[in-house]
Amino acid sequence: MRISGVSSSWVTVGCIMLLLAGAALALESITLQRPVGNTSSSADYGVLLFGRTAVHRYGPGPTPINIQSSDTPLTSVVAFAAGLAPIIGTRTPGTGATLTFNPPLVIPLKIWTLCVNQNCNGPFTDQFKEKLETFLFKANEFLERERTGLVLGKAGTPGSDEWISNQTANIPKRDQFKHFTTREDADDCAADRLGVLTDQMKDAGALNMYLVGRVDGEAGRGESCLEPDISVIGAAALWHTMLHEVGHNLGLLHVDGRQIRHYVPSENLMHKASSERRFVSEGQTFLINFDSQSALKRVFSNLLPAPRPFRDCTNSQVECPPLTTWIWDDQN
Amino acid sequence: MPAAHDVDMGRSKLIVAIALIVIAVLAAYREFRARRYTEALLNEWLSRNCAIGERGALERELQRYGSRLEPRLEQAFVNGPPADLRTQWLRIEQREQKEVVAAIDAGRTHGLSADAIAKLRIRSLVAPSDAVLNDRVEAYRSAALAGLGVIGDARAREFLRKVQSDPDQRGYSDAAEHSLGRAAPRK
Repeated sequence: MRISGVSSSWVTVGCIMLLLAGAALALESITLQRPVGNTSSSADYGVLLFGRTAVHRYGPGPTPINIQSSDTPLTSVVAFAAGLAPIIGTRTPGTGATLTFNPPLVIPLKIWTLCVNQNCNGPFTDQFKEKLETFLFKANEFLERERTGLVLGKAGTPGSDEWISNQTANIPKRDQFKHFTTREDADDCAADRLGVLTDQMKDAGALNMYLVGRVDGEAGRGESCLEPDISVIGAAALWHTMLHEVGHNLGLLHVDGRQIRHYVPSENLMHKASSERRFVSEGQTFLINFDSQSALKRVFSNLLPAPRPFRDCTNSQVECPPLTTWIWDDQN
Repeated sequence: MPAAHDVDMGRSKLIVAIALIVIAVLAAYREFRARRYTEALLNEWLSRNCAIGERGALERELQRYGSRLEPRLEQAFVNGPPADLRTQWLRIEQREQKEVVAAIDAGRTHGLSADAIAKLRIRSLVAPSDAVLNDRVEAYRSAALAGLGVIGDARAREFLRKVQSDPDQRGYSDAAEHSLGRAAPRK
């Protein structure tokens, strides 16, 4: 029998081909590999498949992660896992992709202590050192748990305490900056003032954190001056306020309920008025790792194990998942 | 049967009464909204710990509602954070301490020495007391003084001068002085 001049066997072959193509798309998966030597048994992976106008979320789950998407124009893919650097790649519709994570990136941190209390009149004590160690511990717990792929390391010689510089006896500098202000008429964030602050007091290969008495009169406030490697912290700031300023260094801006609806907004790292910060979205993690405004590109690109494809996510023509994108339902 | 002008008088009185009620309701609603807004403003000011990118927007709002906020900021400084806020902070500290102990027990050190980890674990096992809230309380009270400095009118300056010279508030005299500098009478 012939149908419009085409043999039935050809129709059958065509149907089979279509079915196979459909099945391939339906079974398409992203295979995720841990870096060599990483023996963690964690099976908690997440994947974003995205283009300029759409993003699809997959996981959390074990590898391989099926991406049952018929949205063939989406070709950018990024994968996340706790304790590993997110990995970006390209998906070929129908065949999927294999992505191999890198170990987390260790960013050296140097803390310059000008003041240990808001009145800037006390000596540097063991108790204060413990406060900074607690910050480092909690900050790294946060960064690992939230799959940022970053670790704050100690600047200086390994095993030493050079990551903390006691500058409480540096009277000229201390008295100039104990009340750090950002008003229009007295802006310590201006380039010349930052130049004075950082003169002889900056580690070029590290995130530099300056502890002062108050920022704009407030002991609990922090300020990054939108610099990639400088933050200024009031003496009573909480550990997550210190990490919030590092978030600014890494290119993140403030969020509120309009942007982060999925979470309690004030629990997001980048909320400006929070008593507990616990989460970042996967959209934010993407920006930290792949946006060209991030300190990873501006300052720390030499620490990357391989060139990273940074993108200008402020340009709407560039493929980046929206800030609000999440995979892990972090609410608890 | 009432005369026509009596009926008109009655209608006029009714209209006036309705108008007065509407005005009163609108005024009460406006007052309610203003109170709710200033309460939110106060809470945001006292809990804000970063002002990147705001270009002074919150400060301008503080000045706009200064007369309403002044007594609340004065109270915030004098009394410190309210009991429910302290309770909430203690709960947060408690949870964070438990998380630290769990992380240490799972073998994570995050680059700290064995000695530092051992001390951190011991500190984290102690039930949090008000002492662990010191930083939060200092931040809260200094924010209240800074807010008065932003408002900067005669009443705010007077309060800041009192704090500056009060021997019982010695820990905040420097903060009050700094806020007074900000509150210098505007030209």
